[in-house]
Order: sequence, then structure tokens, then C-alpha cells
Amino acid sequence: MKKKIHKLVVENIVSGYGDMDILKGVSINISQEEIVVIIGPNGAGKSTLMKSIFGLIPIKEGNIYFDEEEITNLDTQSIVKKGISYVPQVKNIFPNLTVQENLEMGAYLRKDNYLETMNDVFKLYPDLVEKRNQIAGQLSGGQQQMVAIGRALMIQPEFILLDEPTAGLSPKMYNDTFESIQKIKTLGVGVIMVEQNAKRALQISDRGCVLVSGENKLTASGQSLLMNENITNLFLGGNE
Amino acid sequence: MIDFINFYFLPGLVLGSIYALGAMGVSLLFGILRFAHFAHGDLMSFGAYIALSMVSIFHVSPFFAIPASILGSSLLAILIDKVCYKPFRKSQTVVLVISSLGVSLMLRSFIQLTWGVSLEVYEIGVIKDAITFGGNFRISENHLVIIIGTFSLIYLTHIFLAKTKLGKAMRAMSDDQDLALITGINTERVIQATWIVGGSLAAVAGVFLGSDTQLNPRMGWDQLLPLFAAAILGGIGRPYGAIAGAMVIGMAEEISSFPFFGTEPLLSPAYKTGVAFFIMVIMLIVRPTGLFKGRSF
Amino acid sequence: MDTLYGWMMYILSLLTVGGIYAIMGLGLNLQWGITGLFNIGVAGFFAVGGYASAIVTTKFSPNHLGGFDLPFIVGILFSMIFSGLMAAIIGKICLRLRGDYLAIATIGLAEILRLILKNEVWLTNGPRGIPGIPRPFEDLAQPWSEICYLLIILLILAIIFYGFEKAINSPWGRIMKAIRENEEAAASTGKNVENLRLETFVIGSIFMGLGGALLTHSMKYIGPTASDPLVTTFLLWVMLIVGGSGNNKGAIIGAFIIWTVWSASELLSGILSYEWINRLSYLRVFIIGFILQVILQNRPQGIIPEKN
Repeated sequence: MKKKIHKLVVENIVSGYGDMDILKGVSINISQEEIVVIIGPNGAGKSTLMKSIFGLIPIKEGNIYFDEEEITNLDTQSIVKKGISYVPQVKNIFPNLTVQENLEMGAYLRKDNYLETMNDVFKLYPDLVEKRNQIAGQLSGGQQQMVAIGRALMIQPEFILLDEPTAGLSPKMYNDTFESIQKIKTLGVGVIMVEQNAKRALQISDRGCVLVSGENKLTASGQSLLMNENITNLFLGGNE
Repeated sequence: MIDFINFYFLPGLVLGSIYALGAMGVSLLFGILRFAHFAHGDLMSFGAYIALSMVSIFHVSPFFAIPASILGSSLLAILIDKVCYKPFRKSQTVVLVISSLGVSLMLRSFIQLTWGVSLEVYEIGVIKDAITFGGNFRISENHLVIIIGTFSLIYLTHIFLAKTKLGKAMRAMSDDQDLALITGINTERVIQATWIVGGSLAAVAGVFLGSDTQLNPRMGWDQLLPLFAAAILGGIGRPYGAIAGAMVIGMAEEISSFPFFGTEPLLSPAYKTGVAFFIMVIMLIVRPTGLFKGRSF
Repeated sequence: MDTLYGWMMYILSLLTVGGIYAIMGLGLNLQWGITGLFNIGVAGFFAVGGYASAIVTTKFSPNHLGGFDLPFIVGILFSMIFSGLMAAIIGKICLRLRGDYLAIATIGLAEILRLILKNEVWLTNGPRGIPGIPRPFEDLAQPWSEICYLLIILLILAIIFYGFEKAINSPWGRIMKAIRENEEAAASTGKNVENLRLETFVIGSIFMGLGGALLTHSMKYIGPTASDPLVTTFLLWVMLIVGGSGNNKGAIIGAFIIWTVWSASELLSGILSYEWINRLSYLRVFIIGFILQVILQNRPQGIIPEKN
């Protein structure tokens, strides 16, 4: 029998810094083996949404559930233990640690043997195998991104949050990253990602969520969003 | 030349070793907690005085009292962190610096109240034979223990940082605090471990310093400037850099009084501390990130 | 009657020294409270001011530089000039360093200065120090001599307080606060941040030097053992934090309160055994450190918080 499919549900969350609310009631939900893409203009609150789910920004209203269990405003360590990991857009590797040490840190909370997971990561990113003992800060941008995602996979998450994983990558690396994200999905992980290149991201997504000024205007399947003229004109036109 | 080695180079190496043990702690702590720990010298003094009590109770060599000193200084460091630094984790760094300056003075007065203010020595009137190599090189037993002890401890610390999970987490946290948290690293536990490592190294440095000279309640404070100088020279947050920095500072302090020209010392030994400071200021102006590209702010 | 007189003299000297610390506290408040410069080399400027005035005002002595025998007022002017000069040189080198680095650099300079004052015997008479420093109104009968000196201190304090209040509420003061809050933003408005910081550093240090001179004349003696420089620096910082940094009134009130606590612990000597009297001076450092922790953790804004 296959193991239970977990669900992550975000209901109407309001959050922000200090008195300022950046998210004003955002809802999304995702199951394992799904890719949900969050698109929207700059300043819409995409990164804030990621950080709020991960417990880095206090949520003032609304709830987040992991299956039936509420995880709203849980401390970050407990959220990681639940099986959610997060890759920030920048500063997402330990630059003075080797590639392998970066991955080991990803498994910090695991008590069991994580060598198999590490092999899975190396299978996903074969480029990293020969660089495993190199200092991560000396790798190329694309390879650093692999280390970052690899680190987040080491905990064997049920869900992974990716904040603009392709920002600043070369076209070749860019394609590789998208491919790897699709593979991550097939490993049974639910992927929530923020992406500048909405068109490309929607193509691989199961669902897309359009975020404007802290509210989600529209959630629909990736395909239907791609067909939606308004969306195409608003966000997808200038991008390719 | 022989005189230079026996009376300037070797003492420089000994002084550099003592500084290295202290400066590694300063550098590690800076990497993790992001502040210059002004009470670090006084942790050294505390370790030295614990050993003094052991020596007077059990009549052992101060080097055999080192485990007790390590225990004492580490526990004290953890206690101080809990009471005086933890409340300020989210405050500006200057608040932590002021707090640690206060802790430094409190620790010193605690030592003055407990052990008194007069100069103390571990062993009175014992002049040990120097060990002689090849006829001319001479090194005292004490100095040999200090140098070998320091390098062993550096090696142990290296193994800890490079091979153990906690040590790696320490380096990770020093690299990027936010990412460490995101990764699920238990940052408070790492901080505690850092205090144990820093406190232990300081304790040993204190005992070494006490056995090389004598003990007084100011002994640790007087090392603070060279410790900071070494940590800055090596690149702050870089414990290996701090070792190199410490050796440079220790050597420079001793060699500065070598009579390079004529028979007068180049610099009066009274100004030894000034050498460390001078090197530090030059470094801060020319290359604030240190020799090994540490953090700057 | 004798007890009453004793108490009066005690309170007079309490106010005198408290007032001197308040003058230095205003200087530190300008540096830290207003501009955010982290100077823990206070004792260095304090010592330069003290020695400058001592050398200028004493009669000839074969033991140290001197013999100028100039009046008190010239002495304190020199104390301000020398501490200001030293601040200008140090500031030029160190002010571009931030936070902890500036702290380390300033405390380092204070330590070096301590070494110089202790070792350059021709200049300062080394460890034996300089005695016989004149004190204004010392020919008057007590308590008038003490009262007159106190009045001088309070007058100076009032003038500085008035000047600082004006300055802080002027456009200049607002710029300084802006620099403290956000240096880049302040620099982007075209202000020469470097020069403005240097200005406050020098002005603040001048008053630390002045404080050193006033205390030296009050005690009629200066020497490297007269006070532990670190304790002087620390006391001043605790005074500012307890009183409320960023607020001139807070700086003054903090100085009087902490100085009272500091010297009141001396009164305990009457009830302590001989063994503990010796330890008292260490105990009170501990007490001040404890007060600092309590304030920092429970009322970080101090007794009188900064006005917004």
C-alpha cells in the first residue's frame, strides 16, 4: 500500500512586518506530488507568502494546516520536522562549507542514516558528485542553486518551498533546474514555487496562483491560466 | 642568532600559543554571536585561578589541574551567556558589547573577592632545568608543554569543527545564521557548544599564562587587546586565521624588544601591548577583513 | 555637630564629583546617545585632560615636565585643547570603523595611553604621579572652599547643558540623530557624514578631557593609580545607560545617581569587618555591573528616555 498523501492547506492568511500587512488573506492548498506556482507582479507578496508558511513572518489571521494539524506560527524547527523545507532566493547555501557538508546540514534533524538520501540528491544533480568536497561558495551560480535545493531535500520533505529557483541562471542551467523540479515532484514531494518566468513555470505546474497586492486573484490549473488572456497580457507578455 | 631564538623567538612562540587559544575562542564566538566578547580575557583568568585552587589543595602540577579549569570556565561561560547575553540576542550588538564589558568587570571583582589581589604563582621557587638541543638551543619544560599543548588543542578543535555534526553546524551558523535556522539547526544548542569550546580554550590559555608568568586578577584583561588584534588580523569569524594572527602578534611583541640596532631594545618592553595594537590598527585601516578574508561590518 | 558637618562635607564632595561625571556624561551622550559613536576609551581622554592641566598649572618640579605655574582657567583650557586634538587624530583614523571595531580601537588607545603615562617618567613622573596641583579657592576656609569649587562645577555643567540642549534641538542635532538612525540615508542627502561624526567625537571628547582636569584639580593629585581607567569608563557608561542615553537630563541624573551608589558603598566600611573593608572596592564594581544588567534587561531606555 502506498503511504498517505499529505496535504498542506493555507487559509486566508494575513501577515506582514510590524503594522504593515503584506498578505491580506491568501489561500492555497497543495498535495504531495503536485507543483503549485505562485506568480504575480513585484511586491505582490510572493516571497512573504513563502516565509509566512515557513514560520519566518508572524501570521496575524488565518490558518495553515498540515493534513488536519494546525501549524500556524509554529517555530521553524518544528515546521522542518513536520517535513516542510524552504529554499530562499538568495543566501541559500553555506558558502564556507563543502558541498557535502551543506547536504549534511540539510539532514541535521534526522536521526537515521541519510546516506541514501544524499545519493538520491547526487542522482538528481550528477554535477555535484565530483564537487562534493569543494567549498560551496566557489561553485557556479547554477551549481550553488543545486546545492541549495539538494540541502532542502536532505530532510526528505513532504513539501518544498522554492523562492525563484531560476533567478539569474544561464539558459542551460535554467532548463536543468526546471527538469530537476519535475523530478522532485515524481519523488513524491509537493513543490510550491515562486517564479518570475510565469509562462515556463505554469507549463510544468499542476496549479497556478496569481497574487496581486497581497491577495490571490485567481487560482486555476496551469493550463487554464496560460489560456487566460488577462493573465497572459498582465504577467506573461513581457517575459519571453 | 642563538640568543635570538632562545630569548625572543621561543618566547614569541609561547606567547603566540597562549594568544592563539584565546583568539580562537574570540573568533568563534564572534562568528556565532556577532559580537566582540570583552569578558574573554577574564574567562582565562578564571580558569587560571581554578587551577591555582587545585594546585594548593591537591599539590599537583597546574597542568594536571587543567580539566578542572576547563570544567569551571565552560560552566561559567554557559551561565554568563544564559544570564547576561541571551536576553540580548535580538538587540543591537553594542548592547552585547556593553553587557560583556560589565561581565568582565564583575568577573574580575569576583576573582579579587575570592582569591585576593596579590600576585600568585603555581609553584614557588621551583626552577626547572631547561632542555637543551644540540648544545645551544634551550627550552624550558614549561614552554615545551605550552607549545605542544597548544598545538594538540588546535588539532582537537580542528577535528571537532571539521568532522563532528555539532562542529559543522557551528561553521554553518557562523556562515549564515538565518539559513542555519531554516535548515533546522538548533541554534541555541550550537551557541552553548560554542561557549564550551571558547571557555575551554580560554581556561587552558589562562593556566598556560599563569604557569609562564604569575597570576593576578588583571591577567586576562591585559591579554584582551592582543586577542582581539589576533582575531582581527586573522579575519574575524575565522578560527584558523586567528591562530596565524596570534602567532604574528606574539612574535611581534617579543621580537619588538630585540636589539636590532646596537644594544638597546628596539622598543621598550613596557610597550609590548602597543605592538599588538599598532598591528591591529594598521590592519583595520588597510584591510579590515583580515589576512584571511573574514567578516567585516 | 561634628557629625552634621561631616555629612555636609560628604554631600558636597558627592555633588562635586557627581557634577564632574555629569559633564563627562554629557560628552558621552553627545557621542553615543546622539550620534551613535561607540567610544569606550573615555579614560584615555579623561587622563589626557587631567595630565595636561596638571602639567600646565603646577610649580616647577625636577620630577616631571612642568613649572609653568599657570592659573586654573588656563589649565582647563589646555585640557580641552589636548583632549580635543587627541580625539581629532584618533577620530580621523578610527571613526570609519563601526560598532565593535570602534570600541576595540578606542579601548586600545586608552590602554596605550595608560602605558605612556606610566612609563614616560620625564613627562608624568611615572607611577608616582603629580602631586601639589592647585585647586581654586583652596585658601578659603572649609566648607567655603568646597562650596565654591562645587559652584564652579555646577556653573560649567549648566553652561554645557544649555549649549547641548540648543545644539540637539537645532538642525545640526537632527542631522546627527539622522546619521545614527540611518547613515546611508543621511549621506545621500549630501551631508558630509564623516566630518559630522568627527565633530561630535571631538566635542564629546573635549568634555571628557575637561572632566579629567576638573577631577584632578579637585583631588590635587594625578597618577596612574589614582583610578582604574577601565572603571572610570565603565562607570560613565553605566551612568548614561541608567539615566537614559540620548537625553541630556538623563545623562546628568544618571551621573549623580550612580556616583551616589558608588560612593555610598564606601559608607558601608563603617559596619564591615576589617577584612571586608579591603574587599569593598571590588564588591562595588560588582554591584555596578549588577545594576547595569538589571537596567539593560528591564529598562533599556533608562530613567529618562529619549524624547522623540
